[in-house]
Formats: sequence, structure tokens, C-alpha cells
Amino acid sequence: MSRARTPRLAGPLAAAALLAAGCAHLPVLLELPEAPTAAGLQVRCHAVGPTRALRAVHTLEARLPLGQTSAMLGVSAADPLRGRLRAALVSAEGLTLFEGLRGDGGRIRVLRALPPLDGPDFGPALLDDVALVLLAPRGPTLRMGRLETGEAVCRAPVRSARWPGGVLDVLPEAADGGAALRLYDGDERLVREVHLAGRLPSGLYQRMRLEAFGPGGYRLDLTLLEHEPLDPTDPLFEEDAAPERGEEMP
Amino acid sequence: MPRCLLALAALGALLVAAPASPRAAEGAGWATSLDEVRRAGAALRSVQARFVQTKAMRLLRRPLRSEGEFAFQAPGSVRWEYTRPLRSVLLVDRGRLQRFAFRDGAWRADAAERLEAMRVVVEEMQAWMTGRFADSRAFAPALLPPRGELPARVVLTPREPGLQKILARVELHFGARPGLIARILLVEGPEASTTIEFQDIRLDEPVAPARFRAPGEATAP
Repeated sequence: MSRARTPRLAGPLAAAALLAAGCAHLPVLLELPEAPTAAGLQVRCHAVGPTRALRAVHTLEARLPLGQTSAMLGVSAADPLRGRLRAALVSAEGLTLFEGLRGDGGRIRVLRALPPLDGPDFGPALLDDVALVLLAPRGPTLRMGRLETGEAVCRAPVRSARWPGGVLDVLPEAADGGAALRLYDGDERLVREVHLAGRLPSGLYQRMRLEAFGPGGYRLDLTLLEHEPLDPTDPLFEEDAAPERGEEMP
Repeated sequence: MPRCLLALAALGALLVAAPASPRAAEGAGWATSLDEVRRAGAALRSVQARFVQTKAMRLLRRPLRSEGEFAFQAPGSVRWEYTRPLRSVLLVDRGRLQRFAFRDGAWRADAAERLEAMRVVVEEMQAWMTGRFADSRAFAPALLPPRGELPARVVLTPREPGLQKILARVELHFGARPGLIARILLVEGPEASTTIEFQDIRLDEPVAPARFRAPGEATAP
């Protein structure tokens, strides 16, 4: 009997855990000991995430509310310097389930979205999550400091229509040995947390875990399969790229 | 859009008469009519093969490669397994449909409600496996003769607008032996398609019954 109950409880427990974590609020930063430390910290914070345009393919396992899970492939192209990206979700059978573009100025265009991924909020939310893990902020930080746990933090503003007034904490040396990103909304509630492990020279990480907190919370586990540099002038970032329909039968 | 349409598109590649090697595609003169294709498909008793699936899309410079294994036993048992990069198994045996994914070190069964949409797919599979393309409720078939390097092939065009948004067409390229399919092409649009090539074919050999059973000790979803 107990074996049968475990899966039924796993979903609600996981959802409760995500909700509980979502109650976390923006922590107070303690002062860093001295200025040279701060300069070095900013360099380390800017090293979190890729610094040049690239393509990447990940396996992606999603854990959705009530314990549902789904595995697929994530294909992405990112241009960190201009904040542009294009991302797709591909099923194991090779079907493109979703493809979207975040172009100049953060404008979003959904190129393809199959049910149930065709809701109006899904595309912007997905592209926001991909931007969080692949387009770490390169601009000035609001401030730097350390948490009570001793982890050093760069705190940067978030320029996203989805999170007005939000801030992003970048922890280049998190307690788990990797790096971490924590996104707080305008009310200073923790809404996203990303754990990054296995940094490569390109700035990509071999393993990433993104947790979304609050009602409808979910978790994405990504494992890097392959990546390569990309010419940032590639037209795939252009908003009029990629007609999706209209091919004639040969 | 009915969920079954999405499931149908995702599994369109599974719905084949039987696979053959690319070399076998050199001659497919037997495929002279849909009736002939049906007769040839109905004669096959079993097929076992490996497959390589390549996904091409604008986002990728090189196609994305997946690998797996396929087994078919007449009249309607199927195993369609991906071995890399994602691991999953779809099983059809005696009318029972199951799907398993390898997660956290163990095979885990998909929830029954998620499989419900695939029931329609299974009906399509059974029709196509025996070459009964004309019976398909979802696709309109057309048999095209060899042209240039292209062998004889059946082109399946979605009948419903909902499915047309997912797939532009499915092509089944025939091999030399009657009833065999060498390659499957799923075309999403002008810049995205998936190709499945079959390799190491074994025809009409006994298939171990265990091939159509759940992998390992699959746990509940």
C-alpha cells in the first residue's frame, strides 16, 4: 500500500515545496570586506553564462505541477551582446513543438506553437526562462555583497516586461559548488532560481536546473548535448526570419 | 485542436509497413499501385531494425541525430524505442498501448490519460502497417512513381486543417523488397523536417515476445 501512495503524494509534495520556496524574499546583502574584492567579484559574475553568440542543444526534462513530467530536446541560439535569442522545443520523435524568437528590444515572435504549448503566455514565459539561463546580464550591477551564508552576490536590475522592477542575484560561487541565479519580482519575491554546474570555456554549463516558484510552479533540468559558436549577424535572429508554411509537394 | 492530432503527428513516423535499408531503395518497381502496396504490406510477418533519425531545422547547422530500434510482429505488435539522446519506448501489443521514459535511472510509464490521445494513432498504425493507406482517416494518400533519385513513395497529406498546422506531409519511400519502406520523411514546413532511415533489417524472423513487454521494472507514473 505504501508503494502505491508514494507517487500520488509526490506531485502535491513537489508542488508544495515549490510554493514554499516561492515564499522566499529578496535577502539583505552584507557588505563586502574591501573594494578589490568587489572588482574581482564583478568579473566573476560576468563570467556566468556565455559571452558570445552560440547555438546549443540540450535534453530537457520538465516537472510540472502535480508531478507530471515530460522529456524533450531544447535547441537554442543566443546572442548575449544584443540580448537576442531563438529557441525551440523538439519532441523525441523529432516534431517541433514550439519555436520562438526574442529579437532586438526584447520583442517576442512565436514562430510555431502546437497544443498545449500554444497559450498566449507560454511563449513569452519560455523565452524569458531561456533568456535567464543564456543571456545573463552584462551591464552594471546595482550593488555587490554577500549573503548571511557567505556567498558573494552581484545584484542587477532585470529589464523584462514580465518582471517590472525585478532584480537578479548572480552567485558565481554558490554553496553547492556551481553558480546560481535568483530572480526576484518587483515585490521582492523569489520567482526563479537557476543552479548551474560544469562550466565550459564558452561560459555554458553542462547542467542547469531552473525552478519556477509560486502557483503553477515547475522545474526544468537541462543537460548540454552539443554547442558551437554562432555568427551574431546570422539572420536567424531577424524578426522576419523563417516562414513556417507554404511548401509545395515535390 | 484535438490532442489526438498532435499525438498522430508526433508518431507519424511509426506508422509504416516495414522498414528497409537505403540500399534497398534502389529498386521499388513493385509499388505500382496502392493496391499493390497493400498486398505487399499484408504479406510481411515481422521486421526488426535499427533506425537513425535526423531532424533538420533553421536553428541547427547540422541535423540533430537520434537513434533507436524498431520491431514489428504481425498482426499488430510494435516496439519503437529511442536509445539516444532521449530514452523512451512505445509498445503496442494485443491492442494495449504503453509508453515508457527513462528518468532518474529507471523506466517510468506514462500516465494512462496521456496515452488516450494515442489510441487514434494506433488505429492509423494498424492500417498503414498493412499498407491500407486508403483507410486512413487522417491522411490522404497519393502514390508517386520514381523520379530521379527518389524511389516510388506514398505521400500522405493531412486531411484536417488542425493536423495540417502540424505537418505539411509525410513521405514513405519504398525499398526494393515488396512491402518495405526505406525512409520516412516528415515535413513540418519549408525549413523543418525529420528523416528516419532504417538499418540492419531482419525480415520475417521470430521476434522475442519480451520485445513487446515493458522495459526493466517500469514504475508507475
